[in-house]
Amino acid sequence: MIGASLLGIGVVSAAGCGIESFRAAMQSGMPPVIKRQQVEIPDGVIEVPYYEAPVSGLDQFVPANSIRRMPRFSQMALLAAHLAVNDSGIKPADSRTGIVFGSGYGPLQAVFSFLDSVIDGSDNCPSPTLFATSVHNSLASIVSISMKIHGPSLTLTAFENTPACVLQTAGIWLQKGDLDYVLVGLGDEFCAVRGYATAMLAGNSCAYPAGEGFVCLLLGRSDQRGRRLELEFGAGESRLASAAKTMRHARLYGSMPAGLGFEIAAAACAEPESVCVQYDTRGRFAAVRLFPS
Amino acid sequence: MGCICAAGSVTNDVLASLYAGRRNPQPPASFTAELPELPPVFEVDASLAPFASHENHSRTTLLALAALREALEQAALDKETLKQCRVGVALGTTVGCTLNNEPFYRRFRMGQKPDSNPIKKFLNNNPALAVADGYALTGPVAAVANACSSGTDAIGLARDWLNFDVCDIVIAGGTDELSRTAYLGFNALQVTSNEPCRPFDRNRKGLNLGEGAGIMILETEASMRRRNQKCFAYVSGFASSSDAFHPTGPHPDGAGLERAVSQALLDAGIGVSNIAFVNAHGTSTTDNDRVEGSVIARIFGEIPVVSTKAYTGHTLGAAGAIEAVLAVRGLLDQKLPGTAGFESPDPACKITPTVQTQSISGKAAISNSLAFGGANSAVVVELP
Repeated sequence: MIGASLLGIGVVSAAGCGIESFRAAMQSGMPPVIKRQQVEIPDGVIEVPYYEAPVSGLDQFVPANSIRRMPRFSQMALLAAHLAVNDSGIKPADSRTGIVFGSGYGPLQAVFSFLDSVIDGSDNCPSPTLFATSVHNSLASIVSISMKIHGPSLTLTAFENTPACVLQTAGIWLQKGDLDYVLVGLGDEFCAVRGYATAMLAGNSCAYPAGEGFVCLLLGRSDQRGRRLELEFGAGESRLASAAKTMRHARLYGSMPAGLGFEIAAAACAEPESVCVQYDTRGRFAAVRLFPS
Repeated sequence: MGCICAAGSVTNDVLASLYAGRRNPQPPASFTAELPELPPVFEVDASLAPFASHENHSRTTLLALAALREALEQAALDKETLKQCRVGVALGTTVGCTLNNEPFYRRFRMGQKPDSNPIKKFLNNNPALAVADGYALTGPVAAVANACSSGTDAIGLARDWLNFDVCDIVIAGGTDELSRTAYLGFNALQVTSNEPCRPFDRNRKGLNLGEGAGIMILETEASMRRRNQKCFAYVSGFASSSDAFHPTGPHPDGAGLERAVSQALLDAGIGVSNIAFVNAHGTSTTDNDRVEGSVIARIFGEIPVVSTKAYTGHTLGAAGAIEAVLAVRGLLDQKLPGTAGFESPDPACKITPTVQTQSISGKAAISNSLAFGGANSAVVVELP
């Protein structure tokens, strides 16, 4: 088990921006507006339900002109990061803060936008800016630049195992003692190609709409103020999850590999002790126990 | 350790090419591009065994598996032994975790309802997960997607897993294939050279992309004792930092890299005088070499510096891992290759890299990586 403290949360989801919007959606019991993409596949037309996470209020934190050409997924990450820091009341700049971000699929739309610039232009003049934003770690770098965070920055990806490797890295970094804070980010975005992929691979059998959004958690060492967390990682049965009732809130954020970030946000909205867990398709898990504040 | 790249399909062959000063970058063979001139690349020979009959695996995964087979053999590990240990997989990649299949996307855009095989291939070819699946490993798995420092960062992550008793053994490294998307992207950034690259040279024109994989089997001393094995090198220090400056370029003062290098030395518990040589990131771009050269000169003075990218090209997510493997071999051989293509010192770089194969003396070396987004990483390797 690894201990840490949760100092601040930033949520950008279909339920709105900020932890209060997420809490309100939880308390209302009403899922966010479900959008639908009509997808033509070889076997016919399938309607793919999905959530869209609108980004609003980012201009409170960064100049509006720097947002204009920023991909939407980057905007989600940047807003979630600023909201988490704002929520914590801490200014975690400089080299004793680390960043660990993860997404299951990466910045999909930025990749396709770069390919659009190849297809619509020519091999000789695609957009260098879009190429730079199509790289997985572009989100973490935008956050480090915006917040002047000079500590280590790592971006990890392993589909449904992404939350486990991200949280485990954050926990170990804090235990090493070189850092005071780690800004953890987890999210995924929806785009038309993901809708097509969902229709082709899952048809109409999805339990939840395809999810979208980004959650940032500002974590500190376990001796710092904030809600205490226990993190457990492994394969097989989770001790934490087997000892407590776990809840799933996917109806609020949808289906996505990085969903555990939203489950942690949901646990933080519930005052009592909570445990959330995410398994990958191979049986590896990350479990998080959140103690009362 | 295992290594495959354009310089050779196993580590011994790679080193033989390097020590002989052999390199042969060519226009890409695995894809085409409509450019006035085709920047050469360092491509792994497609006729090599690793690429035979593996329809479900991407080239990135196959490169990783090829280097892994060599590494496992050297470490005296097989599938059965691995199953009895807590084994993690940390692999750096860039292309290997990106759904950038252009033919698929062109068909999708045109409403041609492309088949789902490219999607399935993407979902089945996260290289770290593919390696873990291939060897039935249940330990932690992470694909490090930190652009050009991914391979070095993966080694740092693996070291943490060992130090915090998460694993007995970690398969660590990096892997990446050449891709048309990256080729066009780097060309658009105007950082590729139409000539073979010339790291730190006054007349350098830019980088050449490459492909390959570097794998290290990292293991705790307790696990090695249980297996009655001896190690031949330590990963004794690692650190990383962010410039927080620019999405693609390094900070001109190199303070982030300097911090990473200094902390890595501190982490290793050694001083500058213990370092036998530096394996530089040395991409041969104007900015990287100027900033990195200046930092190396400030910290290390006259210590030998090599850029092995002169023989491998810039292999992106694999680069840091390949270069760490080559750094260990340099220590074991007490020898460094020349930096091919280097002829004239650039006063802005403030260093003169090796110009021909030379002997070195010492037990420790450092390998640097700089990445998009201002990430800087450094790993220290040492002989026992």
